[in-house]
Amino acid sequence: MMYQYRILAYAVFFFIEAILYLLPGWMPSTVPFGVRIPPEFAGDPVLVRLRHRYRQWVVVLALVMGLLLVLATRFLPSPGGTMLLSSFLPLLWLIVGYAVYYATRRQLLAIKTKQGWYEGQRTAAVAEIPEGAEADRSRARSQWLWILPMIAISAVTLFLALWRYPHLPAVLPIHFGPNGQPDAYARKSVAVALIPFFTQLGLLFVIGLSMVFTNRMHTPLNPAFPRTSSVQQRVFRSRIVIALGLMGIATALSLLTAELLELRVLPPQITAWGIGLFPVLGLAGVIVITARTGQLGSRVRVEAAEQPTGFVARDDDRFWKGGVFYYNPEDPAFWVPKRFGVGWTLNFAHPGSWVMIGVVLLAVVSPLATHLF
Amino acid sequence: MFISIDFADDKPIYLQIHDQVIDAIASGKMFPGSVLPSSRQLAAEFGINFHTVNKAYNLLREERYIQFSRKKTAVVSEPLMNETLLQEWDNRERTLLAELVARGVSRQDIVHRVGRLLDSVRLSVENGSKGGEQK
Repeated sequence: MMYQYRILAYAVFFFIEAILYLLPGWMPSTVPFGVRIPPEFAGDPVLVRLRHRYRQWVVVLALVMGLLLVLATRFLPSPGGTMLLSSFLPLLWLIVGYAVYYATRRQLLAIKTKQGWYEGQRTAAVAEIPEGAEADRSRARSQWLWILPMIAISAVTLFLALWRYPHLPAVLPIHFGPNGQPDAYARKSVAVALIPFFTQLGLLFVIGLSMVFTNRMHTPLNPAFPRTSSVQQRVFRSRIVIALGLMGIATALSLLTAELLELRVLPPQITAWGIGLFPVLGLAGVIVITARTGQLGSRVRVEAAEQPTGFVARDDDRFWKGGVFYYNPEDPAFWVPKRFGVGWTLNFAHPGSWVMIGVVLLAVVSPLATHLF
Repeated sequence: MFISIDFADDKPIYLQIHDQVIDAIASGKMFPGSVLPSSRQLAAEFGINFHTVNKAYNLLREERYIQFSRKKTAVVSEPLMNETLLQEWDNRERTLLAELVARGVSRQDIVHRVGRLLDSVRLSVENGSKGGEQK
């Protein structure tokens, strides 16, 4: 029973630690450790030293956390231990990782201020205005490349469920333990038989919406290298769409496997593995894409080298509370690129962000509430 | 095409945006029918107040370089020229020319300079950049 939970716990552990270790290499060179610096300091020995120190700490703490994990999987009684593994430990790893980031950021901020890296810099901002409409249209088409397989998988799921429905027993399993043994049941109805399909529909909606938003996400260009950062951000957006597509297809396949399990089409030992396998494969693909792209396409090589314009972005460090939360009432932007991470985060000074948080909280709390009452 | 604003420049930001849009139209990077991003979107990209971008757009509209479509998007207008506008331009240009004359720059020099500036404005059109001829 505990066996597969352990594998999952170790997988999450390696996933989190690997990302913590690699993340500094994925960030744009002008925002190392969440600190905005002029491009001429991007190769400064101070940064090389800080990056080295950050990685040493991540490795040392990963060893400690790994030991904790081994002890937890060995000695904790299984039901409580499972809860601990699945919720508390990953949170602890994230907090420890954040602490290392925060300490490194503080050091860099102090050095930047003391040595006056931003003094006498000419600050500017650059925006790009599309010259033609063709580029936007071709990007919109590329979304369908990823949405269509998801629709096909959902259709297969629906077809299988309706085809097998008359042959199903009066009571259907709706939840399974890690080795494919059902541990919750419901009376037979079309709605219950179609739970995986409805989940796929919801997923399709969320992924499709995320793709549309991703393609519309226009974030500030680097004024020092506007042409380069424009190309990089375009590649970044299209890679994020691919990553979303991969994750969507993987999850849809996982749900199809869940439907097969529910319908008893395949032996439960096979399908139980399939449910977990597809998301892991999808996640692995997403990590490879991210590692090759970097935040805002910072790892994308642009053929034509660009001379620095002599301008730098405004110093916006003070708007990043704790190095991760952006709060700037003067900035009309709703989405802003993450300061230490890949993707976008909210401008918490924007009124819309509170609506967003409310919606997410509601989505998280309402299933819990219905579960409790 | 890129629009950049220099925060240290004495020229107000809305005028910097305004001038660069006119420059883009002159050089053929934008042409009648070209759509400008919404003032909110452009402001978010710059990280500045959207009223500043609105101010630039409103000035451009008053000067008939752009117009707002029914969906309130800013679109570059067909070029407009009339006697009043020419008269206004003459007045401004006369002051600029007078500055050089007052400082003793020769007529030949002035004509040469003006010709060179005019060439630089029209450079991208003659280089066959996409734009004007597409429409």
